Amino acid sequence: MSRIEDSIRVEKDSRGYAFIPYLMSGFPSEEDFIKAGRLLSKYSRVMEIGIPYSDPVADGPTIQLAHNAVLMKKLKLRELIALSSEIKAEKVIMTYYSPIHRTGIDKFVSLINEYGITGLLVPDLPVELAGELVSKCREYKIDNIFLVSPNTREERMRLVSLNSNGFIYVVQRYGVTGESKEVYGPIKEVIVKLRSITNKPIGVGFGVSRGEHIKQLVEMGADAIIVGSHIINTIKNGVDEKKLDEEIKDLLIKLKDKLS
Amino acid sequence: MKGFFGEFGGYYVPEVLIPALEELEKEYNRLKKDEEFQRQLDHYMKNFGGRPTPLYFAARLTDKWGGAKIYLKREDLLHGGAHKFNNAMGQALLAKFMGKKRIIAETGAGQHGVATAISGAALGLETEIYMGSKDGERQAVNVKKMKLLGAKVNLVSKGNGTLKEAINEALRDWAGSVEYTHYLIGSVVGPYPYPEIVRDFQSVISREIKEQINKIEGRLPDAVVACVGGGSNAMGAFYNFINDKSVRLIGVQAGGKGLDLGNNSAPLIIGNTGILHGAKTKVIQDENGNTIDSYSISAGLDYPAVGPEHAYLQSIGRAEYTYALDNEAVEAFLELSKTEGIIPALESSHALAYAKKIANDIGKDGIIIVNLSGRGDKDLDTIMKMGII
Repeated sequence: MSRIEDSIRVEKDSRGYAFIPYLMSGFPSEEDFIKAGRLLSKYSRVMEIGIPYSDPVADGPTIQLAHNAVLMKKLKLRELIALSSEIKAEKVIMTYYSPIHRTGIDKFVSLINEYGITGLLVPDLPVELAGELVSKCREYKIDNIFLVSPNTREERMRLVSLNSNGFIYVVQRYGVTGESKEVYGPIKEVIVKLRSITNKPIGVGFGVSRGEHIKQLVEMGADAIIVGSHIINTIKNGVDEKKLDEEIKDLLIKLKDKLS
Repeated sequence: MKGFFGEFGGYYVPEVLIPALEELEKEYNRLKKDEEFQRQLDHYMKNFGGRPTPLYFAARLTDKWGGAKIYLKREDLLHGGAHKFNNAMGQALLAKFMGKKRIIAETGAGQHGVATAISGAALGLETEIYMGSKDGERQAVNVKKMKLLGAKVNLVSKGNGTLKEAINEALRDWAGSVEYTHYLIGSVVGPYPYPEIVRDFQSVISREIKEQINKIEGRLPDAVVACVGGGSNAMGAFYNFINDKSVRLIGVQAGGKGLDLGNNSAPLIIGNTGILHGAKTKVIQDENGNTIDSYSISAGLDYPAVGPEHAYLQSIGRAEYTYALDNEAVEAFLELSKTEGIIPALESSHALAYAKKIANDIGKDGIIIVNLSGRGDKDLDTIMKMGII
């Protein structure tokens, strides 16, 4: 059984959904990244940790800025991954395929395993090209998380579900990461269809930045909500623990009030 | 495996683009055999673009170099001033037949941007171009042309402000607009099926060369030489000769200021096998897989990766890849202008510079064809800034 899936279920039981925050390793600084991660782990059992890459085509301006800022520090891959071991949560590494390919699949997977990472998400690696990576991850009991988009057809959803463990990531709109004003309505059909195919948890992300978004997506059937750009925007000039704490409480509590 | 040339190629892109690539592959394979599509393509190539382009014997240059006969494939005479028209017009027509209302494209030197704007205007498609801000400066005339032709031009100031950043932004645009937009990639790069589609549209170059040289000389050439940035003019010039093993296929990359990292755009010489813009190919990158900025005097070659089919042709030894330095390209630029009355693009000047080096080795009985991929009007500013004229 997947530890990520377990954690999502436990959190869902108590709050109605799991909250998966995204942080970029080493951003805005090494110390502040750890500070933010520790604070967020009070609210979340599963966290996504980005590893920077020079050409992140699935990311909008906010997260691009985080990629670039960390690359300027010229940290080694091992250092970037090691930083996350200071944070207590199930951790999903999110990075592009180029760093993995260059490092070598064996070496990369055993490296993240060494630092207790239990999930891996590669936004530019389609499921049918991921065979070698998936079998290596299975050896180490690391979950692979693949994505479903608003335009993913049913037979592909089955392939994605079959190969994903921990949760399945639904991209809730067309485009790249970044905050948005509202939820993309037609995503409901995607979530409902995916639910009819799989019992694995469904995580929804891209553009989620308000309590109202979370409420709507959970009502549509999301088990977990991923919040990235909104958090990166909140901490980009340094982590003010009080401000971050309020921001998260605001995001999560508003929903709890409305759900109850 | 589908979508690969040997180990190279593939389609390493976000999930949202997968259905679009599948649709493109399906529609392209259907339209390849569609009579009406082929009739219109042929019409635009001939009557709008100016195909076939001449194969010109450069008599004075041949004399001057004193070696093999030099022929120039005059893609510089094509509408828009470069080979880019072959692919842009083909894909724009594809977009129209697929029912897309909008086309977007990246551009380096601006030649592909201009060709896309020309094609978009001719077919009544909304056209938007992404161009690095540094490239926009050094190829300012082309920015003006694109605007004049009705295209919206977005200058991308991120990173190095060159072709790589322009492709990143175009891919991000496409992820959000894929339902009604066709991404008109300008070279044999990017995810499958693009490298194949672009190569097919460009392969008209080698189809014509073969016919023309046969008519003039009654035999195949000894070598075909073309510059390689992304590599579309070279793939076009090589493609129909791949099975003619006696013909040397020579790709010339931009050596820039030399082969040190960061000073050139020669991934086939100094790069690693890596992933960029959806393809596994040769990339100039660091030990963590991050792309290292490329450099070349020529905006159209200033790209840290290369089309996957070139990486494949190199791996099986069918094509040779070398480089020419900035100053060698500039010398060739000046030499062709004065000797033959043809101002070549700085990109194509790299191919000329290398042809000069091998003309004597191949010898007086030999034939070298240089693909003159574009004309050099756009480069006058760059040359004048060097104080040469």
